[in-house]
Order: sequence, then structure tokens, then C-alpha cells
Amino acid sequence: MNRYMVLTGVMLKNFNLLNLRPGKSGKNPIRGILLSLLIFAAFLPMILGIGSLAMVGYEVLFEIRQEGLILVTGFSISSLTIFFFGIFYVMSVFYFSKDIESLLPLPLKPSEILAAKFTVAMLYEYLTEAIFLGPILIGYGIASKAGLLYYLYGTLLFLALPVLPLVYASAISMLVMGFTNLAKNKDRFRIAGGITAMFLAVGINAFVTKLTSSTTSALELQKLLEQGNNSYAEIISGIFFSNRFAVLALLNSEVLKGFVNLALFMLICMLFVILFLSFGEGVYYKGVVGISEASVKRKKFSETELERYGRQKPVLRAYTIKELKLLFRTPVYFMNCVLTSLIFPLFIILPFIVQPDAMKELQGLSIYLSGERGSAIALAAAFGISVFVTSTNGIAASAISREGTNIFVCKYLPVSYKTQITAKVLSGMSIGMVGTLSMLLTASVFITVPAYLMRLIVVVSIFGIAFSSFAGILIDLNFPKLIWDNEQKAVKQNFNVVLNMLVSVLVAGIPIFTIIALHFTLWMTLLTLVLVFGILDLLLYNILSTIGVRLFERIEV
Amino acid sequence: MIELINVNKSYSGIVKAVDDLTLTIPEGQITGFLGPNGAGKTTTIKIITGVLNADSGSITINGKNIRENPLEAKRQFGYVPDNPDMFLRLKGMEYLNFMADIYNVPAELRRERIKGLAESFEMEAALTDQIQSYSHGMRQKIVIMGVLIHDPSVWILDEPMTGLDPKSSFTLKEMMKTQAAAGKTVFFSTHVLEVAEKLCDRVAIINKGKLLFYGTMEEMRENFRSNGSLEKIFLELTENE
Repeated sequence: MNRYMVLTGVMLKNFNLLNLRPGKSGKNPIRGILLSLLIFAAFLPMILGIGSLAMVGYEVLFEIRQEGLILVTGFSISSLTIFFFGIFYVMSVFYFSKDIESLLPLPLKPSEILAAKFTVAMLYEYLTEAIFLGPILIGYGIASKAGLLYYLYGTLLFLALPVLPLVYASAISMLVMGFTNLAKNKDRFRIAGGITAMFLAVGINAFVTKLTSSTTSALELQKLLEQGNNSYAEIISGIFFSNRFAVLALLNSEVLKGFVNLALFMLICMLFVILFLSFGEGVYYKGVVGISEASVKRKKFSETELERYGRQKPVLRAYTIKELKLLFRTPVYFMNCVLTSLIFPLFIILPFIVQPDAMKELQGLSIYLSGERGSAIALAAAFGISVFVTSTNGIAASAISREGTNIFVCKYLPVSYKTQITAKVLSGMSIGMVGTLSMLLTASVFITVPAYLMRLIVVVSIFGIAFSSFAGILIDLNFPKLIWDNEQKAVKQNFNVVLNMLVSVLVAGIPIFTIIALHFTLWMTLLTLVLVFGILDLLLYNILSTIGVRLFERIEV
Repeated sequence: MIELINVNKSYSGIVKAVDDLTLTIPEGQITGFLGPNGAGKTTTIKIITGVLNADSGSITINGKNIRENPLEAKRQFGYVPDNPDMFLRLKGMEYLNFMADIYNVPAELRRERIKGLAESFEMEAALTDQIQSYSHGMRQKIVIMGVLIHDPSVWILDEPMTGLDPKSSFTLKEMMKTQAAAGKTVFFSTHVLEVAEKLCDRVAIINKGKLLFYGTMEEMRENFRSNGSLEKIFLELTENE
């Protein structure tokens, strides 16, 4: 227990989410505070929106005595989100993080390392919860004029909720990693393991959704809803079955039933933690020992290899290729930056696997798209998608942070900062382009998109992708997170990525909203997007080549 | 030639890492840079190479100012940093070609050099593997090879012998001598005094950011009127501070 506390403490010291710690040369702390305020301000509308939505929902659902549905939604979506992203997180932190190498020689039990890492993971998930579940719990509490016990139970449930999804995510990761660690080429297998785990996660989600939707037909559901008395909460099943107790605890917080349910929920959590630790005690080291072994051929290079590698390339191209190679070869970067932009098409395909009937409904959409208004909306929407996909890959927004303490290499190479920034932007843009295109191509399998519209979409996406990448690297140049002990911290636990997502979606959202609200024609839409983002891109490019370069110059570790 | 004039650098405005340092490192010679741990050697080297900005003073490399004309200045030198853990996911071959691309080394020439360097550092069998599979010494070698591939006229090496096996260490020292004899500038830091004594034409000793001595080995012995080893003089110098 003592060792667990010490270990957790050390790991938390390195948490440093916001990169507030001043650097060696005494970086201005005001910037950090400014950044935190900015992030808070950016999230505020979302938090308030979700909170007030919960309050409005309460009023509506209270009429049919199903207000518990709000809590059900809050807990279910939070669990699913934590589970899904937990896989990526656990993979990176349990297996790929650099501290593993220094922890293994210490006299620690696998379960102690796991427990400490799990705790840090829990803390990280609270941030996710704070944005979604937090406002729902508070909104519901205000609307239902709940008592003190409700808030107490709510807090406890909030704190314990990530246990189940994280245990699932950890179990899947440990199984996959235990298996892939047997392989010779570790990096490649680890990436394959990551992909497998992701598909498992998506598959399980789809399976669970299908299972619940088939057991409760529409008719039954209607009957259930008509019953009132929050009967809906009773049918929660599947892998997050314990959420049922959470909801019941909150619905009955004033009576004993509430306490019993809370106790049940906590008991299940504890049981899962114990199971997880004893399972991990046996399995964890199988996956983690030797994790840093690299594949080795040790074979003398041939003339053809010398020839192939040795072709002279222009500096910008060489630098961009280097960036891309590192993205594809570093498992954490591959999973978080490359893979995430390639999973979006899955979300399109998924509904059709779960509900094959949905196919028919799409025919109507295809006809709509060939019309004037439909094509305008499609163009605007596709533009929005391109911005979203690019900003979620986080490549540009973590381009400087990913260098870590090796940023010094950028400083002595005789390559201008402008060229380096451009290469980093280009690597982000190319993955953004691949992500956008794969999404559009997948969509076009299900919906007939006219060829001219497809071409226009490609044109406007380039503007969107450039915008998101420019904005991303500008943010990262301002607040680079260079001190990290595992790569995960450079990409996922980096608020620059989140900030860029918010900024990108916000800036792209306003014109899209205008286009749809004011019934723009297709050509007006095209003109608006190209003009607005053409100017914005130009402006950002200019800022990057002047202020951006100066910011890069000033970065010191 | 490297020229430092009145260079100052402090961390957080309090700790002075480099204190009014003026130093001219001539071409055609090997200059050793000595000092105890934390004396400011690495900081000085980082300032010369443009990794850190000096608070004041001027630094020129072959007459090109690192602040005013950074790209030209950076093209003059090859730099071996104290920690070779970089570009770990690139293959050795990819790294060498990346450096060659950055320094515009023509294809023919680089292939020739890669072959030659791989042979003299016994790295032929490792170049198609990723650098992360290399031992510390091998990483050190690949970084040194990355410098040699563009054949710079100024060599700046931070603790280059650390982790090298005897043969590679010997190879590197021979290369340093050849370079100096060919009229190039060789500047390296070390705390291995025997190496400095045997290899250097000149030594600069710093402590707490201040230059304590700069001159040839003979000048040093004369100056301190001692026939003692460099070790003795070094200890005397740095302890009396």
C-alpha cells in the first residue's frame, strides 16, 4: 500500500496536464494561467449547454415519470466514452510509456505498478467526465431540487464510474499485449495489437447495442415507457450493468433503496478492481517485460539498399518524410494520431452492421443530395468533417510538443524554422487528407454523391484541412509541452490538441451554420467557404512565417 | 574558426551558467574544453550551436554570426550532442540520408561516405535496423557518422568518447587529428583528462561559467611552472576557485 502511494505520487508529479510548470529559463507563468482560462472558457458553453439540456430534459421526461432517462444517458455515454478511449490510453500508459523501463528493476509487484497507473488513468478520466457527466448530474440535481444526499451520492458515483470501463479496457489491452509481446518485430506487432484492441472495442460496442436493441422491441419499449416510475432505468444491462445501480441510487437517494444501490455499485467496483489487480499480477509482466526490445536484423546493407535510401531529396520533402515516418513507427503516435483519423469511417459503417434496414433510408438522402439545397448542405457538412477529422488527429497541434526534449535538434540543423513548421504542417495535412478522403469514400459507398459535388468537396476540404493544421501548430508553438516522460503525454494529454479542436470546430461552425440557416445555394456555399477560409489560411500562414518563426526561435529546453 | 566574445548566459536570471566568456578557437588545431561537472561546458556548446540563446555577447563560426545569420552559421559545423538518443525510430541508413538531405550532400558522394564510415565504425550490419535497437555506443557512432557525412569545416563534439569502445574511440581520435591537420576546426568537451592531454593542441578550462585558462599545453605547463600532469593542474585550478 505504501509503495502504491509513493508510486502514484511520483506519477502524478509528472501529470502536468496543462504544461504550467515553468521551463529552465523561467517561462512566463501568466501564459499558463491564460491558457487554463482560455480552455475553461472554451468548454464553458458546452458544459452549460449540457447542464441546461439536462434540466430541460428533466421537465419533459418528468411528465411521463421517466426523468431517470437523463441519468441513464449520462452514465451510459460516459462509460462508453471512457471504455473506448480507455483502450488507447491504457495501451500507451501501461505499455508504451518510458517509465516502465525504470520501474521494472525496482522491487515492485506488477499489481502495485498497475494500481498506480490505474489511479492516474482514473484521474484523467475525471476530466472527461467533468465535461459531460458533471453538468448532467448537476443539471438534474437542480431541476429535481435534490437534497444533499443526492449530491453526495452523485459525487461518489462520479468518482467510481470510470472503474468498470477502465477495467474492461485494461483487460482487453493486457490480453492483446501479452499475446503480441511474443512477436519478434515488437513495434509492428504492438501497432497491430492496438488495431486489434480497437476493433474489439468497436465490435463489443456494436454487439452490445445490437443485443439490447433486439431484446427490447419498439413495442416493449413503449410499454416500458408508459409504465412510468422510471422503469427504463431497470433495463440497463450489458457490460455496464452496474450503471443501473448508479441510476437507482440517485433516483432514490432519500430512501434506503438509494443507499443499498450505491453500496451495490461500490461493491461491484471494488470487486472489479480486485479482479483486475489479480488478473494483472499474472498477465501484466507477460506483455510489458521486453516491451522496449527492438527488432534486429543486423545484416549488412546491400548496394540496392544503399541506392534506394540514398536518393537525394529536397530539404522540405526529407523533413516531411521524417515526420511521417516517426508518426507511423511510434506506436503511441500511430494509435492516437494516425489510427484515430482512420476510424471515422467505421462510425459510418457501424449503424449498418447493427441495423441493416438503415440502408433503405439512405436512398432518400441520395436523391436529396442531387438537389440544390441538399448539395449545398453536403458541401458545408463535408467541409466541417474535414476540419473535424484534421483537428482530432492532433498532428499539427502536437508537432512541437512531440519533439520533447529533443527539440534541440531542430535548433542546430541548418533548416529554417519556416521550413520546419511547413514540414510539420504538411505531415498533419496529409494525414488529415487521408482521413477526410477515407471518410468521404466510405460515405459514397452508401450514398450516391454526384461526381461534381465530390470534386468540390475535395477542393473545400483542402482549405479546411489547412486551416485546422495552421491553427494547431500556432497553438503548439505558443504552449509547447516539451517535458514529458511518455509519448502519450505529448499527444493525448496535451491540451493544445483539445484547444485546437475547439477553435477549429468553432471557427468552421459559424460559416457552416450561416450557410445552412440562410439557405445558401451550392455556388454561394462554395464561394463563401473558399473566400473565408482562403483569407484565413493566408492570414494564418503569414502569422506562422513571422510570429510563428519567432516563437520557435524562443523555445528552449 | 569559432569566436566567442563576452558571452553571458544565466538560467532563470539567477544562476550564471556562462560568465563573460571570450574564446577564439582556431582552425587547424584540436581544442579541448575542460571543466568539472556543471561548469558550463554543455551550455557553452549549446550556445555556439544555436540550441540556446545567449543573454549577451556574440558568437561567430567561420565569420558567420549564429544570431544574425543562423542558417549560414549552422551549415559550417557538425555537432555531436552529449546525448545520442534521437531519431530512435529511424533506421541508421535513413538517419544518415536525412542528414545528407538536410546538408545537401549529393547522392553519389553520400553513398561513398556511408560505405566508408560504416566500415571504419564497424556499423555495416546495423544500418538497416532502427536506431532504438542500438547500444549507447552505437548510437554515439551513428550521430558521429551523421556529422561526418556532410564533412563540416568545424567539428563541435560534446563528450564524444563516452560509451565508445576502444577501437571506435581510436578511430574517432584519428579522424579528429586528420581533420585538424587538414585545416579544420575541432572543438570538443571532455572530462577525461588523459584524452585531452594526448589529443589536444590547446585546452580551455572553465568552472562556474568562467574561463580559468586558455592556451597550448606548453603554455599551461610554463604558466604553472610544473611538470605535473594535466590532472594535477586541472585539480589545482578548479579547486582554488
